[in-house]
Amino acid sequence: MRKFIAALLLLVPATMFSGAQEKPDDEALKIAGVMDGIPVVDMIHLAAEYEKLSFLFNSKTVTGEFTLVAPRDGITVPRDRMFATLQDVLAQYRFCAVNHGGTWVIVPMVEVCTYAPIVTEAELSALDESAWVTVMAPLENADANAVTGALRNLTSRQGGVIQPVQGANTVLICDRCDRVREIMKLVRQADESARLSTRRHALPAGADADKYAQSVFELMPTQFSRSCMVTAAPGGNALLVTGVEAIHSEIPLAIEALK
Amino acid sequence: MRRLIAIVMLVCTAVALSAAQEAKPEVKPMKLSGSATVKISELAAHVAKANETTIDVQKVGQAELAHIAPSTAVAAEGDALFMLLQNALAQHRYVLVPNGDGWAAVTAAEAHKHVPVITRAEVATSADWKWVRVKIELENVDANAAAGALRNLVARQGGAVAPSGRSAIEICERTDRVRELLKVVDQLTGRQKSEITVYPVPAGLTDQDVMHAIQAHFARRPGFYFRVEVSPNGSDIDVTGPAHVQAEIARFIEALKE
Amino acid sequence: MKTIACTLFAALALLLLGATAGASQRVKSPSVEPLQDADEAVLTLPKEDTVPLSDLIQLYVERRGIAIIFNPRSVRGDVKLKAEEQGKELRGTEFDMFVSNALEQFRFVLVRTITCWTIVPSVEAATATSVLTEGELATADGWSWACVHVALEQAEVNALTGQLRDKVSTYGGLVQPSHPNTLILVERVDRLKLLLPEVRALDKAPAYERYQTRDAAAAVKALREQFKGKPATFTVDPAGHVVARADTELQGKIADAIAALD
Repeated sequence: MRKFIAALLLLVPATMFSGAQEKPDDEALKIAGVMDGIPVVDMIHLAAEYEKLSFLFNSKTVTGEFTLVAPRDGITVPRDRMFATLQDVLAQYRFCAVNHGGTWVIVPMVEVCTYAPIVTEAELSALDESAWVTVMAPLENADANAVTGALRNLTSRQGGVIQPVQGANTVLICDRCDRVREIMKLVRQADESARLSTRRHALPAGADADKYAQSVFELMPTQFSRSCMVTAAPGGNALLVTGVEAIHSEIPLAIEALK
Repeated sequence: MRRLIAIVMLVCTAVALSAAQEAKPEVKPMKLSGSATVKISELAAHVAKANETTIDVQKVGQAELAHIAPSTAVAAEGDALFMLLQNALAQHRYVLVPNGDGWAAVTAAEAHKHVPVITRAEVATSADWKWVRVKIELENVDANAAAGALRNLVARQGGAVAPSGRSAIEICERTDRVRELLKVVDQLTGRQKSEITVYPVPAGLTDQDVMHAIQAHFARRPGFYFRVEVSPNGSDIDVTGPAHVQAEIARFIEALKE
Repeated sequence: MKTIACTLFAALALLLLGATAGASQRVKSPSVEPLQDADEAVLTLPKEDTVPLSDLIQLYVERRGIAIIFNPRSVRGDVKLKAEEQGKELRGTEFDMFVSNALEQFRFVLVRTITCWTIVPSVEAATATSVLTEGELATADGWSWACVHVALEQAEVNALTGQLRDKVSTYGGLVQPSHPNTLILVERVDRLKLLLPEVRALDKAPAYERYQTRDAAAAVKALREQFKGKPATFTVDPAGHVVARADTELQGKIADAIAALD
């Protein structure tokens, strides 16, 4: 196996990008082969040149090398993807680039939430996926504290942050745009799962509605009882139940068990 | 003869000085291209010259920054130059603050002692790069909750947010960042804004039935604040509460109609 | 200001770049597409050999037609291979799975980023995987990692989380209870496909049982204490019986507990 790989590697000159000399192409960058030990700062140069951006950083802290492995036949990177590639490279060293007053500054990821622009969910879809942002996500149904706890492990290490806004039932999510979009899928699913509805559930004739309300509530499991309200309907032999969708299929079973 | 020479020299000096004043060199926008290692003191000197002001960066003047721009160059002048300097200082945990008629770099941790205090209205006209302290009055929102929401979003050194009484917070940050933080404040106050909604009493029920049903049903719900009372006209129910509470009470009243 | 020539950049640009700088376009292009069809990727295995992980990555990239960025200081090691026979061929997703397994040996996973692929520590898989619906999961590649959100019908999420925690990968697998009664699962897709039916089986409908006791109110109080933290609830019905909601297995224990109380 080793011999085979060695033979193959002989065919692939180390550190080589194949040429566009054969077919000039202004729109894409063709890379090929194994590029070992590329300084991060060189990648910053590429992004600056190809995307016409200016970067400011502390050269003593933003250091390091990375390896890029591409097939020897080459692979095309659109020229307007150089900044995104830079973000991937910087992430290897827990750094990222953020636009700060018109200049792209390179900062440690742990501090990015103090720089990232704050946007609404609607604005998120129009943003570049490699940009770091903080999204305000108001929740209609789910509890912001619970959602924060559930999603905390899914944000980028050292930089990704999710926190509740007490009183506004909103979560703030700071991460790279592509990651925020994935996390927002979970936020919306959680919010939808927590959607409450109020329905009327009939009781057996002559039942004591208040007693039934108390007993039915006691039978609800904790995961439902936290957001469940059961009261006797005024003027009728029925219960009014507010809760998540699953609870409305559970209530008739509980009423039946109490008959 | 000596006196003549002295007079001639005086006249020449005067002419030279006035000519120098008339031919004051025009400061062109700073062009940034390729890769450069920038000393803070050199950058500050250029910004000071271009804006005819003084900038004291003694403490951090020797610190260096890397600046990489496209070879086609980008130009910066005026506020953009100040912003560049402010960003450069931030990399070394310093900020530019007013100092008499000019400016001075101080450690970020000391920023709050030197920056001007402005009102929320003045944020709109303050230059992006200027550090400020802003007192923001809050409506319907607890100051501690607002401060807690913003605390993680201000600069690790120099940025500060603290409650100021029960219904205001004070933020110390760069103006452009303050504008971002105000979006969160507005979100917070908007969500908590109470409104009165009038609900007709469903047929077959009395206003007291409906009022008690609402109170009993939502009494145990955490964080669900509202006020319910019979309308002055005696045939409707008035509910005061934020939008998400109103939506749920509307659904409840619909269920009462069944 | 002292301007220095960016010689490294120039050298890199001349040596490595095919394209020349033109007008900047802010409309982003679609992400990098592989040049080769994944099904054409073939790995021919020796009967036995030891291969540096970096060589395997190079070979994979070559055959699969993708680009991978990684930190060479952390992604390293030797992979020991043993095949049933000399020259055994791994094609398409078999090859993908082979590389995924090799990386897992070193606690790494291969994940897609915006422009290419990257190798991240397994413990960070949850921070880099795509969120899929159960429908999307059915067609996802078995070797890739994914995150799914599962809404539970009946089971109590915290109890279920405890049961599932030992069933996901030690490094990278995640079972996270979510609000109000949902689970977030992160795992490699092939294992996730096996895990989901288990979750559904555990999310079974509870049973309601009625028990006759001498003092129902006192019994309910004692049972709540005894079964604290278990997915069981109790009340007294209008006729003075104890009514318990729990799964069938737990109902047996409740019956024993009531018998002991009497």
